[in-house]
Amino acid sequence: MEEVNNMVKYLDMKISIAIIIALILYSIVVPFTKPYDPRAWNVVPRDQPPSLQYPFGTTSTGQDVFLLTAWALRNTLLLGTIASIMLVLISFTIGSIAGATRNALLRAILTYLIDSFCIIPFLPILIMVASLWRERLGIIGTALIIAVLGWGGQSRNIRSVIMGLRERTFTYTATFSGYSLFKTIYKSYLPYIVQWLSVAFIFGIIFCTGLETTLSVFGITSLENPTIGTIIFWTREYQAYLRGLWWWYTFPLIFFIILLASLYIIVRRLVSIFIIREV
Amino acid sequence: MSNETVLILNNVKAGYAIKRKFIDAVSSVSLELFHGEIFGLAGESGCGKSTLLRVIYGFVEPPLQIMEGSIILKTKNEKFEINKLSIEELKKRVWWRYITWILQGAMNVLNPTMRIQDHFIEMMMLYSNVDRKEAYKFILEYLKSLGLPKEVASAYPTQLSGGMKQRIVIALALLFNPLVVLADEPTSALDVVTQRVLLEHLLSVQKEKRFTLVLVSHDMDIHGVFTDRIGVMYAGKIVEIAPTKELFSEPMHPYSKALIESLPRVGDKTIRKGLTGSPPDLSNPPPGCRFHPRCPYAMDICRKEEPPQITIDKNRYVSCWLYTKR
Amino acid sequence: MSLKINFSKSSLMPLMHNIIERIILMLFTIWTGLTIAFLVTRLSPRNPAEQLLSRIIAAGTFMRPEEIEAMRSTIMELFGFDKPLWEQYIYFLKSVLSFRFGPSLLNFPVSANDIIAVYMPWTIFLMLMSTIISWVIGVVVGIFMGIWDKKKGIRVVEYMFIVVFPLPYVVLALAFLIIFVGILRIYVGVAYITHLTFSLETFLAMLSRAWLPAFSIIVLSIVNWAMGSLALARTAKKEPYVFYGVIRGLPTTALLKRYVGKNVLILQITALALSLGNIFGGALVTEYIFNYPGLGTVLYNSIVSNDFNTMLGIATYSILGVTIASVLIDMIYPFIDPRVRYGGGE
Repeated sequence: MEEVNNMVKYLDMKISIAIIIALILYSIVVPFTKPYDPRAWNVVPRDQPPSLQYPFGTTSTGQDVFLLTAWALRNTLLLGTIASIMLVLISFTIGSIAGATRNALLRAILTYLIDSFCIIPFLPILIMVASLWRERLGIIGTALIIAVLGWGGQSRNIRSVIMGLRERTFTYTATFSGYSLFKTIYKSYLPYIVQWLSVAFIFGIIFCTGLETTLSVFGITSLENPTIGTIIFWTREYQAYLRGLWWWYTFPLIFFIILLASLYIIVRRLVSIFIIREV
Repeated sequence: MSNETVLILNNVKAGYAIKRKFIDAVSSVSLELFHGEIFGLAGESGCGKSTLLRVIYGFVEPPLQIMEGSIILKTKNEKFEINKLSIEELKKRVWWRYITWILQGAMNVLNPTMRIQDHFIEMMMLYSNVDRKEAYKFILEYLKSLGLPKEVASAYPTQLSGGMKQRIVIALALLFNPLVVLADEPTSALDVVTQRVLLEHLLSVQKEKRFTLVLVSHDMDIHGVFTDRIGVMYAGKIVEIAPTKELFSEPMHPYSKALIESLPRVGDKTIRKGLTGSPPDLSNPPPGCRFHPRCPYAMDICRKEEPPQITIDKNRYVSCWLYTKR
Repeated sequence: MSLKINFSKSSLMPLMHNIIERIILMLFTIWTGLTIAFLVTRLSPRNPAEQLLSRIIAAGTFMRPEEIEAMRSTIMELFGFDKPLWEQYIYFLKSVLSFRFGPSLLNFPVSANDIIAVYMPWTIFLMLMSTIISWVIGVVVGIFMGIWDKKKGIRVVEYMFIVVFPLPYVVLALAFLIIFVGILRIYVGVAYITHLTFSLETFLAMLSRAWLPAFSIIVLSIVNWAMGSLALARTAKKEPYVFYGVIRGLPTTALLKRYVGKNVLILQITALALSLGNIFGGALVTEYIFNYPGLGTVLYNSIVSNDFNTMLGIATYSILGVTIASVLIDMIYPFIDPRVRYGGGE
């Protein structure tokens, strides 16, 4: 019974990884086969329900939902990943220095910086900044401001992890054995750091994707590059749900939910694997 | 110590089913415990002592399984076949009433969000029909009778020192005057002075209340001073059972010999010899006698067949081929 | 000897020291947060004064060029746009201290304070109710799920929660809107009372508009709290004192309440306090989607129209809320958790 449990545990992670790969393939291959410009409107007849020709139907803006979803997935994933990388870099750098340094002043300054970024109401500010610079922000720009405003939480996290590591016995052992700070970090901390980075990265994708979607629903991001969020925005603009154009929002949303759930399952399993190794 | 048997283990075989292996932690153990005695269970870490206690208590949950044998608890009026009872039934009828278990690492077994008195009151309200007020009064009296200051009652566990917490754990264990108390390494993690004080406290309480105490420890000193009889365990098997004095003066099994001989003695300046090698992997134990790879007296038959339990005398048993009459 | 008991009620003296440190840090942090907010508002390349001016011109009668000039300078003066940046900043800090944020651009000439005062009760009503309900239900559900986490039914629920948890709130909110309004055709009330009293009438009016957004928040929050409590309960289950409770024959309900449950609850109270501090910030998306008359809607409108004073006013409340809540809970926590209150015995 225990054995079945063990297998199932990793089964959901394997399925999730498979799903993610499938989604990535979908988002890359399909646009390849139908080379329309994703930003172009009125390419196909409007408001068509799902059919053989248009398996997911078409939108009020004259776009093929099947193709649109692929592009949206691509952009959403891309943006989320880029933002997450930036966010993790910023938060890791600041947070780990804050946790590892013995210089009390440096630690105080960094802590105060981290706390400050944690308490600012970053959604309103994000909306503010995004709406001000809407024209200039592409995918990278949006990713950048998300990362620059939202790094606080993860930073606090890594800071306490590093502080915890410092207090652990094996650090004292390393120091007393004559390891330099660098060697200590490399040999003793590295596995923990790698674990934290991988978890933070995937979690970051979920988080940043969520933020970008929120911004898009408000209509603040550059609305031509389709993301799941912009699709939602346009469905609201055209009142899709009142006009019965269910395929326009259902298919992208289903893919979106599957994407996020899979990412989340992967994160959960990673965390439990790391904790088990710890014990 | 009287002649009334309180606990009988008959050829008990139990172990852990993990992944595809079976860890044979308790292998054909047969044992009898008498009313009012202090029985020490000795052996190195990993030899199965804790598992044996768990099996005696009856807390058998996967991956732990009992493969064979019986464990019988005899009270004045009833007989409980512990291996046959479900945990629910054990909870209702046996646990804490007739038999108690003091866990290893008892420093952390008290709920840090509950006051000491609530630990006791909780037990009383579970097992009897008193109301809180009566229970509270009783607890104060009870703690006093065990020499614990009354300020302890309203304290939280984090306020207490290790030794004090351990005394509370003992007090909890004795709350309903059980017949048998299983104590798993009750004093490791405490400093030597506290250890001594604690054990003497336990001893005096035992003399007063006359329960059977099964004391598990890897520390032979403790066994030497505090126990009436000792059972020596090695690799899941009981290799020798003897009254304490006799075990120390004349150990029979080669493993017991090594244990006793490794103890320092006043005035003796010879170098202590330890045993070479290490205990076997219990998922794949050696054939025949499990001790033979490390035994200086190993014979041919030791490598092939497991020695039976041989009765040397009343209350004296060895499992070793050296002592069979051929 | 080692049988001592530690009765130090005075982790109190070092506690005082700690509190003062915390308060100073808190003030610094608040100041930084406000400064960031201020700077962001001034980043705008657009001139809100001009916007207001054009609105007034468009709405009103014809004005001669001198009058327009006079109006322009009045507006600039009123909003402080004619002064250099650092003076505006000082003025802003002063306004924070006095809690008077100046005139609202959008609702000129009504002051930002008045706008905030009118809409704040609505937001507090919605968010307070939602947070507390979802916390209570979520934590209890999470603890239950944690204790019986191997049962098939619980696992199914857990996977359902896993799917909901990572979704951005917008998606869920819209789903609710679609389901209730679009499909089920249950309409949300459109009542709006300007004069709020502590009466049943007010309560019902607010409820009629708040129930749907509250429902959407509650569902997502319950999942959040439950997942958190589930993880905590799973960890707590493994503690030695829980095992000791099991072997002493304690029934599962007792273990639930006093052993695992209490442990998880204590930890989640901190999180609750921080959540409550976040009330002002959290409403933005909800109120936008559900068209709810609260600070979130005001905030959104003020962002879109560059109404700095209102924006900063709300931002101030938000920052203060979060910071004060976190400091308060830090101070109160030792009184809740006996492990922290009394130092170790050795």
